[in-house]
This record gives sequence, structure tokens and C-alpha cells, in this order.
Amino acid sequence: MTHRASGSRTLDTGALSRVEGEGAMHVRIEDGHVVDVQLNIYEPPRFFEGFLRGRRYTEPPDITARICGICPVAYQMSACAAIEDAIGVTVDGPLLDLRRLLYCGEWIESHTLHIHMLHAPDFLGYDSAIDLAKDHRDVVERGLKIKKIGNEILEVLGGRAIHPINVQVGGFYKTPTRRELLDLRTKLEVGLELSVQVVELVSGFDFPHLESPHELVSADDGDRYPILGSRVVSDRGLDIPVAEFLDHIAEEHVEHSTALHAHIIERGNYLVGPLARYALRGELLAPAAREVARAVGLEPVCRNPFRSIIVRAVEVVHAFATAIDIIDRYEAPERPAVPVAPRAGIGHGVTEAPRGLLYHRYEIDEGGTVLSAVITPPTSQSQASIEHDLFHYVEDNIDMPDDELRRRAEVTIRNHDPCISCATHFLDLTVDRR
Amino acid sequence: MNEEADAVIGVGAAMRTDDALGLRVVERLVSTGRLGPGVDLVSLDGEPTRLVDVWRDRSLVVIVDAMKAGGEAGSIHRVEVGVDRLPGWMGSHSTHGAGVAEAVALAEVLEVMPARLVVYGVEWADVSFGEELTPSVSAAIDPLIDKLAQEFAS
Repeated sequence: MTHRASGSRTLDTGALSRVEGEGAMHVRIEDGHVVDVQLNIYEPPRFFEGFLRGRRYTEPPDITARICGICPVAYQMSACAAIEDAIGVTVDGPLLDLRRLLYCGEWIESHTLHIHMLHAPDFLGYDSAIDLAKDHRDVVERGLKIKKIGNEILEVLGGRAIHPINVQVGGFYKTPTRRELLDLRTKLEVGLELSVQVVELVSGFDFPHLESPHELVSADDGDRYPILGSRVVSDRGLDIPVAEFLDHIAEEHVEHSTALHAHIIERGNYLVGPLARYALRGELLAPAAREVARAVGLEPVCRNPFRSIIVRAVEVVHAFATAIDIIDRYEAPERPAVPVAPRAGIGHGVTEAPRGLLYHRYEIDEGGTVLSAVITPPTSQSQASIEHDLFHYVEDNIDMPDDELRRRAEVTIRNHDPCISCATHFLDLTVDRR
Repeated sequence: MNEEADAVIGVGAAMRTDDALGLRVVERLVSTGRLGPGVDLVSLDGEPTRLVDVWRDRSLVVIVDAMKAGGEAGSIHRVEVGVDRLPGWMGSHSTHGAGVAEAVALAEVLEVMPARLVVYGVEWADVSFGEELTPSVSAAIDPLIDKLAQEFAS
């Protein structure tokens, strides 16, 4: 829909398709220059922070899992890590491996959804995955098959795919037998092979040039590629224990958004997600993932957000290879969970949601009641950087017709896979030319 | 070949007040056993590929979702895909974006549509954050379940 008024032009779109969540984007152009880009994001975690106060210390994993249908495991894992930290309990060995395995299922599902249903159509010239499927049914079918295998990890280990119910503070309610995991392993082998084909496909796409200059921030998980994490690191020297996250990262309200914008204190905006993980810890990818990344010519540090589709595809290979490795080493733990008795304390947890670092902080009293909760989701951390990318992309392409500019702006946002409901549901994009 | 059992899919979001309707209906069907053992009961968030996955190889799938078409909160709409024209609320005005309509389009291209797909939409009053259904939507559950029972009895 186009509205014209004397001296200015405003374009409105309906749904900013293929990015779900709630929010809007506004671009203002004056005298041929971009003067403002605002990503207006509605952010459920703020509601949940209030909702968690007064709850039992055992409840946040289940409650926060409902923030997002696509990354419930991320919320469960960061919540568990933070509460266990507050109480002073360590979960390790097979239980920690099972958490990683569950998380692999979520990475596979979420990344594969984004690659096939949202991102690939952008590069292949289709408006939607449905149009893509008309011409390349095999590509979409393969994506659905891979996604379904990720889904099966969630079902076997999480009890169900949507909002897994088998996770608790300290571990799980029930752990799988070796036999159950071996059944899964056969499917994971198929998934691994298919996921390598996806890397080969997406690396052949034609990518616009864009160099994202932002500081890259990721969790650090010692000698493993970050899925879980114990520290937070960046490519500009940030290297802190999780407990110091809020000493270095500040969130502030900006006028145009209900979401908080995060920045590194005295340094500015930053980017989380696959580009950050891969740049910071790419050498720790599973051999199969490293090999295919090298084979398709993915550079060791990739700063082009359009090429994030390749990094996601490589991370899917990593998730399959990691899941297989975990199953091969698996010995069922003696008990499904470490006992966690309430104790007063403050705890912090970070893990890597598919779209980037997710931080939780809880303060618990001696009776086990949650006194306060802080949740910093990945999209609010990357938001200022996404706006920055948009600003420059629109500025560089300012003479494009509005419809094309709008389409490209949407693609620029989709590059970062803003969370389906934890941060965004783009309903409106306006380009205002004065 | 339609080898899988018939299914009811409740679509919804647990913490969005009336948007949880589909989930609540499935919970009720699970606890009461009203539809008997031959019908799979599934809760989903409306993400299209998950819907398509569940539809494969089934004869009859009935979806229950909260929606808004401008009518009174709690009023029940029925659409049979392929028989009735797809109304606007199944597209971008659904609480799940283009969920069901997009899933139908995708399933048609992939040729995995169930033999019959029926969608029940219940008009919501409130989809802000909250755990409880509003009274008017909650009151729709019993009559809705009667209608579901009829779908599977016929």
C-alpha cells in the first residue's frame, strides 16, 4: 500500500513475511540519505521476568520454555544453568552430554527451518518456500526430512517436540536407555549425510556483499564448540565468566522499541549468533563440519550476514556429528538428575540458542522462591547491529525502487534470523522518504 | 495410502490467554478420552512445517485454533479445506500468522494433504500474556468438543 503526501513518501507493508514475532521496522530517508532505521520489537521476555518472581526455583525451565516455540530448549538450558549456579550444584558427565544432545535437536530444527523456509527462497528468487517447493520440491523435502530428524531428538529426549517436558533443574525426569539412543543414531547418520548436501547447495548461492563490522560475542564452552557455556567471549578481547555478564553488558530502553537494546559498556553494539560462534570457535567444530566448511570455501571468519546461511548449514552438520558422538559415548547415568535443594543465592547461565547467546540470571531466597529474574535474549543483543546493517544497506541502495528496497531490507533482517516469538513478529515495514 | 490414524491438532501458545484454546481442547480430549483411542491428539504451535508433518498419510485431520474474524468472542467457525473457500482468518489474521493457510499451500505442493482437513476457529477476546482463557472462550470448549465428536462419528 502506498500513501503519498506532498513532499514526502511513506510506504507501508503488511506482514514482513517469513519473520515471525511481533514488531515493525521503520526507515526514514531525507534528501536521499537514510536518517533513521528503527526496528521496533515487542519482547515477551520482559513479561516473563515479572511472571517468574515469586515462583518456585524449579519452575523457570518450564515457564521460560513457553517464550518461544522454536527455541524452548535454549530457554530451559539457560534457566537450568542459572538456577544450578545460584544453588551451587554442578551437572556434568552424561547428564550434561544429554543436554547438549537435546540442544543439537533444537539447532537442527531451528536452523533447518530458517534455511529452507525463510532464507533460501531469498537467494533463489522466490517469494516463499511454497513457491520454492513448486520448482525445487526435492530441496524442500530434504529440508523437512532433516528437520524431522532434529524433531525426533526432541521427542526421544525431551518427551515431546513442542515445549519439552522432560527437563528439570539438575537434569532430566527420565533419561533414555542406550537402546533408545541407538535407534535414533541410525536416523542421525542419514541426517548428517543430508545436511552436508545442504551446505553444498547454499554455498553456491549468489551473495550480496556486506561486511558487518560489529564485535562478535559468543558463549565459550572450553574445548567444545559453544552450545552450552561457562564464559562469554568476543573477538575484541571480552573474556569473562558468566557471572560478570551484566558488569560488561548493559541494556537500555530506546524510544522506538519495547525491547531493551543491549550493548557492551563503553564499546557499543555487538552481534551474537552463528557468525559470532563460527568466527570465535570455528576450529572446535566437529571434523565433518570443519571439512565441509573448508570444502565449500567458507572463510574462517565470515562477516557477511547474507552468508550466515552457510554457517547455519555448517552448524547443522556439527549438530548431527555431535549428536552421533554423544550417543556413541553414552552410558546411562545412575540417576536422571542431581538433587537440587533450595538455597539462597544469585546465579547466572548462558547457552547458545540457535540465534545466539541467551543469558538468564535468577536470585533465589533460602526457601527456593525466585526473587528476581533477568532474561537477555539473543535478538535484543543483536538488534542495534541489525539496525546498523540495515542503515548502511539502505543507504548504499537508496536509488532502488521502494518495493525492491523493502524486499532487500527484509532479507537483511532475515539474515539474522530474529527469534520467531522471543523478539519479533514483523508486521509493518515503513519507508518514509522526505 | 492413509495409514496413520485420524487426528485432532490443537494449535496455540500456552501463555497468550485465549491463544491457548487449541492446547486446552487437546488437554480436555486427552483427559476425557471423548474421541476414543483411534484418534491421535496433537498440540502444536502452528509452525507450518510441523503441521504438514502431522498431516501426512492421514484421512481426517481436524485443527482447532483461536482466531479473529470480527465476530463475538467464543463463536465457533468451521472450514473444510477443499470444500469451503479459505477465509481471511486462516491467513495473516490468524494468531499464528500465515500458519494454517501456508501449511495448506505447502502441503498441496508437496502432495501430502490429508484426505479431509477441517479447521475449527474460535474467536478470541484477548491474546495478551496470561495463563487463563477468558470466560467467553472457555465456554466455547464444551460445544466445540461436541462438534469434534460429530466429525469423527460421521
